[in-house]
Formats: sequence, structure tokens, C-alpha cells
Amino acid sequence: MIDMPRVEVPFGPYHPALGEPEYFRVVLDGEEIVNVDFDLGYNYREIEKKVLSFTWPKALILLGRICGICSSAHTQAFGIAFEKINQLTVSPKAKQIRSFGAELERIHSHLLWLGILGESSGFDTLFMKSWGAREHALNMLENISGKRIHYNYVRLGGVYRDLNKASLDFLKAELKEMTDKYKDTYELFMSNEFLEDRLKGVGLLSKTKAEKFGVVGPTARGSGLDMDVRRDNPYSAYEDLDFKVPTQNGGDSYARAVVRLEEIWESLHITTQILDELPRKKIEPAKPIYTSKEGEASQIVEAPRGENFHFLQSGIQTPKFFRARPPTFANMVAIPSMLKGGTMSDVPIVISSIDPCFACTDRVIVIDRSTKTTREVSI
Amino acid sequence: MKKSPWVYMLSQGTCNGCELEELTLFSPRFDVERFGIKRVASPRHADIVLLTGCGTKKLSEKAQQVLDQVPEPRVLIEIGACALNGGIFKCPGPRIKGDIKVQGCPPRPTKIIEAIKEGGKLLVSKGSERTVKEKRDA
Repeated sequence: MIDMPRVEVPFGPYHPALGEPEYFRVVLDGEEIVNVDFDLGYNYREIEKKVLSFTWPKALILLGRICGICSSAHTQAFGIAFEKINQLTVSPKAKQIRSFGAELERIHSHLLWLGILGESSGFDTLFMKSWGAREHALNMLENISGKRIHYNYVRLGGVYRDLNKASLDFLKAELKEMTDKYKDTYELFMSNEFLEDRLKGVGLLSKTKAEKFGVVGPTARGSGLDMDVRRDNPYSAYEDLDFKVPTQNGGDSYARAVVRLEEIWESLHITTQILDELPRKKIEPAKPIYTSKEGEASQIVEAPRGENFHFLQSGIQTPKFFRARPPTFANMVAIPSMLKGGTMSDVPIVISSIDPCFACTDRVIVIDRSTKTTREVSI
Repeated sequence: MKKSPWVYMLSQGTCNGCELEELTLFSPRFDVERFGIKRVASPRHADIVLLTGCGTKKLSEKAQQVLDQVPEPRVLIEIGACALNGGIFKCPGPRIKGDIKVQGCPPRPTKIIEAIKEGGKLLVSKGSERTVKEKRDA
């Protein structure tokens, strides 16, 4: 028998299975993965520094562009932190519109992820079906904000515009159509034995390990940790809404997938509730605010991928200090542990099972004064 | 469009918005495969490269390495405000220059389809120029 040396396989920064540029170093012993290391920072765009020179309305636009998928989560966290500092009150209808947009974002993000999972496991029909259903969520977001992606409908102290009767009728019709299409996609996923075999037991993360790594969002809920900011520490209109937090005990890629699919049902339930209960009284669109009190505040919101934390220290015209910790940063540390013991062919599936968003994650640069060198790290 | 162009998506450090709109082209609503436009996973198979992103420090060099593997004749399309001039992030670059430019943050998918169709025509003319040149050299 030939004694094989260990092989180091580079995975990225450009790889067909990765939607975004990131680098993974995988060490193989034969077929088995023995060690994994990753290097982030390819999407680093100096956002936390740049926002300090932006006026308040402009800062909101920049922070929406941290990520093209969960831009509502970032603007909402920043907006609520600003409102805490300035003791602004937001009308209940504006709060409900914010929650409505956030849930649409969750639906479109999870359907997007489902399509990518289908594509990376060789099941293109799933990609087509779920992205077909996703278009309705984008139509609705376009209706409330005017844009398909980067829907900056959250404003400091309110929302971009009120929902009138014509747009409510449109939203109701679209929601019904999306529910029908999603039902097809859900059944396609649940009835497919091939996908179940491919995903079960791949990328295992036990409950104790999930607690140790501090993972968040659907990754944590797939390992049996019952946590959700919307229920545990409600913001916007979530206090008055009725929804469940789905959890699974499997801890593998399949469990994480099922959690996300069940979450879409809950989000559809929440959006229907909001449309039925939305007050008829008209609200004024929020006017731009150019000055703020000095102070500091933080806010956590539940982004589609997990907890999104924003800390803001405000100056008068611009932010003084700003810091964001997106969910993927918390989930990335669990990746090496999930991959070890698996095979090379599982790498794309395990990485996509935490639904990583590297655009959110890469935002810090370190300057070493003694050697005058710079390097990028991700926090 | 005479030929069936194969496109490759090359990111130079983005927020994902433009990539999402590019991927949407291959989903049922826009379905660019009806024009013969196909997405490829390898730069070596590509005719048209869709460039996105503002050119981050860590990625600019790597993006150039990938671009070097795309065979001639090729058409490069800059998509989104970031690829055009650094966008809201104002990254220092360097960014890869393209033949066709599409504005927007992110541009609507229909605009990207128009640009790819234009790129297909440009590809044919670039290809015929090349054959004329090769014949002359021979």
C-alpha cells in the first residue's frame, strides 16, 4: 500500500461554488479532510471608517450597501440605534411597514439560499422554482421602496412612504401568488429523497459545540438552540405579532435547511397578519434629519442569517464611532469543525449550509505602526 | 446576435447586489438562455466577462489573474456604479476597464440583458477583425 502524503487544496478566492470571493485552505489525508483554515477580507470596503464622514441621511444609504441581500436589517439596526439616542417615536404603522419589509427580506434571502443549495448539489429544478417564487418578494419590495435590491425604505424616525390602497391590493395579490409558488418549492424539497441523502449527516454541529462557538440564527436553530431576537428582545412591531420559532435537533445541513424552509412559512404568516391589521390612518413620510444629540446606543436585529449587532456613538452632524457585527462572522468560526472528517465533495454544501455573506463580514483593517504595514481582518 | 455568448461573472469586491441581479438573469422571469446566453463556471470558457465591484485592495490583483485566463476575442462589461467609478465606497482600485458600461446600483436586469446582447455583436466584430489580421499576417 502506498503511503500518501497530506495534500493541501486551495479553495478560492474565485471558485464556481462560492458566490463571493473568499479563500479556504483544505488539508486532505486521502479523501478525508483533516484541517481547514480560512482567510477573509477580500470584500473589505472601509465602510465603518467612511460612514464617519457621512451626514445622517447619507449614512443610512451607505449602511444599506453593506450587503445587497440583507440591507433592510442593517438600515433598521442603525435607524433604531439613532432613534434611541434622540428619543424619537415611530408611529405604529411605520413600525409595521418596517417589520413587513424585514420579513420580505427574510423570504427572498432564504429562497435565494435554497436556489444556491440546489445548484451546488446538482439540482437545477430547485434553483429555478425557488428563484421564480423569489421574484414576487422582489416585486413587493419594489412596490414599498422603489427598488428591487438596496430597498432603503427605512428612514430615521419612520419609513420612506405610506402604503396606499392600490399598493395594499397589489401586495395582497402578490403574496397569495408567492404562497402558492412557495408551496410547490417546499413540496419539491421535502419529497426529494436524493437531497435528504445528500444533506443528512453532512456538516455536523452538535448542540454543545454550537453553544461553544456562539453561532447565531438558523445555524444555531438547526442545532437545537432555541433563540430568536424577534421573540426574545422584540423591536419594531414584533411584540404584537404571532409567530413561532422553528428549531431542529439534527445539527446537520439538512436540519439547517428545514429550519429555513419552516421560517419562510412563518414569515409568510407574519406578512399576511401585517397586511390584514395595518391601520387605515395615513402617515407622513419621514423627513430627512441632519442633526443629532450626542450619545451612544446599540441595537440587535434578526437578519435572515442571524443576529445583526450595530453600535453607534453619535456626533452632531455625523456618527463619531460605528461598529457592526453581522451574523456570518459568528457562524464562520464553526466551519472548520463542521468540515473536519468529511470529504472534499462536501465542502461547497457545508459552506453554503450556513448561508455565508462575506460582503457583510469584511470590514476591518489593522495598521501596525511599528512596521508601518496594513493587513485586513474580519470582525 | 449571431453567436451564443458564454458569460463569466467576475467580482472585484462588492456588496452582492449586482451579482444577485446577474444571477436573476438565469432564473425563470428573465431567462436569458432563450437568447443563447449561458453562464459558465470557468473563465477559460468565457466570451463575455461581467465585471462588478469597486476593486478592493486584496482582490484587484487576483481579479487580473483570473481575467488573464479569458481567451481572446473577449468583451468586458462593467456593471454597476462600483465597477464604473468606485461607487459609494470609493475604493482606490485598480479596477479592470470594460468595453461596455451599465449604470445603476444595482442596474435592472433588463439593462444587463441589453448590454450582453450588445456585447454579443461586439464579440462578432472583434472576432472578424482578428481573422482578417491573422490572414494578413499569414
